[in-house]
Amino acid sequence: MPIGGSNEHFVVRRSKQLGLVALGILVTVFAVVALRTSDIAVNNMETVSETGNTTSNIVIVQRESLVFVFAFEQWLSGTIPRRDLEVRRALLAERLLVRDDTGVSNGERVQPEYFQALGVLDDYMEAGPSGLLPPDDQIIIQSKSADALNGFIFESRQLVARIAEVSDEQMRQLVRDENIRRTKLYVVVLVVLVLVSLVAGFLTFRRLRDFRRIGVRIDNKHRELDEMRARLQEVDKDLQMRLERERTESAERKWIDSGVRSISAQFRGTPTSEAIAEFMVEGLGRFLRADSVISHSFAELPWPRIVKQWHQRPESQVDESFFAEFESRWFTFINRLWGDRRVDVVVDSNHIEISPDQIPEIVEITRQRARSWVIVPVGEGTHVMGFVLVAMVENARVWSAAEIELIQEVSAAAAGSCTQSRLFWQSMQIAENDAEVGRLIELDKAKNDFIENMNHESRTPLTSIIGYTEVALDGVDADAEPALASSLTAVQRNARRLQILIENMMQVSKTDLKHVPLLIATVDVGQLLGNVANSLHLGAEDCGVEVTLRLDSPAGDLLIDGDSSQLEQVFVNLMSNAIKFTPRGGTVTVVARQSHSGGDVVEVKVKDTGIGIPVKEFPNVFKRFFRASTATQASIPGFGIGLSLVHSVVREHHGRITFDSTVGKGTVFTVTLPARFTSTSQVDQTT
Amino acid sequence: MNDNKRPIIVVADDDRDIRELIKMQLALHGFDVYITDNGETALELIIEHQPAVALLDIMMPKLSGIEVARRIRENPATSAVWIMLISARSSGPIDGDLDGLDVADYITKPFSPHDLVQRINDVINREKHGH
Repeated sequence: MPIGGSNEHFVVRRSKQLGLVALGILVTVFAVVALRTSDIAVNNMETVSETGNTTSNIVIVQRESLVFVFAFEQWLSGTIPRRDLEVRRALLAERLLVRDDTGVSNGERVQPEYFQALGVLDDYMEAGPSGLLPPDDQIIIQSKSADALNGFIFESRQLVARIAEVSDEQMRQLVRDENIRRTKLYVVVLVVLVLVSLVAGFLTFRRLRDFRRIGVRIDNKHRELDEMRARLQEVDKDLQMRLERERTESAERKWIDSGVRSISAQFRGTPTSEAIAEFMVEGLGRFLRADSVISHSFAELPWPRIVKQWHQRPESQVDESFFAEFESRWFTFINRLWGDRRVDVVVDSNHIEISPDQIPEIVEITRQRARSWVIVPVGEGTHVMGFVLVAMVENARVWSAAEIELIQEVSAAAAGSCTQSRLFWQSMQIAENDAEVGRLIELDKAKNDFIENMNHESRTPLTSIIGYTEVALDGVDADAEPALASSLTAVQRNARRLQILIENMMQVSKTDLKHVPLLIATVDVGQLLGNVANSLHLGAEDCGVEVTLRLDSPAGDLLIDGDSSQLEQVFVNLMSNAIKFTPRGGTVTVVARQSHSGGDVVEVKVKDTGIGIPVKEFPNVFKRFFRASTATQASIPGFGIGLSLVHSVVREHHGRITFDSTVGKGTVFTVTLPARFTSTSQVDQTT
Repeated sequence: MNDNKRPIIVVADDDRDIRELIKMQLALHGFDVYITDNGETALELIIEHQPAVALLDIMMPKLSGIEVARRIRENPATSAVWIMLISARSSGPIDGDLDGLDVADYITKPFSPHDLVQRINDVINREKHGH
């Protein structure tokens, strides 16, 4: 197959060849011209010798001499004047001065006898008159010069014969030189011809080599083309596969999009998170033809836990204890899924090995109610909000990637809508409260001034109480008067507690809930709760409320790093609130334990059977001066400061406080605080 | 400044119970104590008795503890007296400028009587070392 490039190459080659032929022709022409030039040179030798050749010169001298003789005889006969004779004589003299090619003048080649005779004739000529010779003189001079004249004629006729020997030798020399010149010329022409043919041969050889190379290149191109064709086929195959896959994916995508659209369309304009969750579970359940869908958002202040369910068959309804029982486990598990950007998929729980990233309790309680499920975490950024559980009760089911993606997208849309609705709800609240806030700010200032005064004023009597009790205790013999000693001790203890209350009140009013420096030390929460319970014991008895403290973990496991006086303040507030808001005959239960949900924490629950807080007031519980409507209706006194202080102290300790409440049934506050880095249980394990 | 072996303390506080409490406690621990409920009398007592320590409540009618302290320092006859202030504020100084008053200690209400004795002794010992 001809290649464009080498065709061009071929043309170039051809023109080079033509050039070579032209060069050969030129050289030949040059040689011919050179040879012809040398022939012309030889032919012209005689012409040139008229001036330069010795023999020719002598011939001319001879002729000129005889012309002079003729002129002399005419002068002698009185035919011409001496002047004419002198002209001929001058021409002859001139001729004698001419030099031949060998550089010798004609005169030098002439014999002395010639000049001897010529000199005698010159003498006669000079002796005569300048005009015509007179007849008398003619006879005298004729007779006297006859010998000289004959001698001169003889010598003149001898000139050519004498010179002939020399001329022949010269001619032969000339012919020899000419032959050598011609030979040299032939050799040069021959050498040039040989060189030209060598160059032509070399170029031809190179062309042949180039042809071979072109052939090899063409073969290579063929191979490359074959390879390219093979590669193209592979690419084509790959493209086909991708197209196929994309077609499938876009079909799946369409399916997912239509599902997300149809379900989340209902979220728009839905006012509450609960309603959004209800739409979501039903929408997902019907779209995916699942048996059960449950959405669970973790309690997160000010929002309570929200669980919504949809079931194909109503008897599948799950009791909320299903989640409450292992709430912290659920949170840990979902948090982990969210952090790893994973979902939990179980195809058939009858054939399942619990993987390390699953939590056995969760798997166990879920498989009691379902055979196959998908759990998708829901959150924003690093923040976990809850999860969606889609399940088949009796059948195993392979969940496709598209189905899982659908659940993820729908639940994310629901989470977004919930956040929006919450923000909207909060902004409405803020607008409603705006006027009240302005009034409260003024009140707050007045209150701060008041507290500051009251604080100062109460310090003085407190000084007396603490001081006199101490002095009195110094003077009491505890063995002799045990009742008095323990009474005074109780006064002292409570005076100290009052002192702490005053200090904290001062902190609230002074710093306006800004940062209060913590004095960090190891705090035994169990012991702290014991002290607080003791100090509140009498008050609780007066109110007819039974206070129970239960430590569910060994005392050594309830250690945290914190500011004991501030933490004491936290639990004094929570427990005294619980007592205060619980009607006579009710109970307050305080439970402390170590928990491992979301890292090691110490968890304290303060649970009462009190009047409760209405759900719509939940968002305000930790605001300053907030008082539940149930409390004001029951005319229970209070400032509305305690919980805001508790909230800020717990936060300062990197802890978490949550609550749940039902009006008329009671309230439970849960405080979790990070456990000390090295807990005793870990030490026990290592020893 | 005192020929007596018992160190003299002048106490000024407008609260009767606290005055009496401090007097009782200090007397029990070997001090001669003069008490008053206002700053003017306190100044007279200090000039008259040349106490080791003047224990002054900051918040007093007529003459505040800080003003008394300032006058003690201005009077060459009393400038060697150690001054201890008592305040009902929980933390940090305080109303008025304490610069140049050379206050030996600062006690906040409520305080423990044991603690008070300890701190007065600390101040007096410091004076002994100083001389």
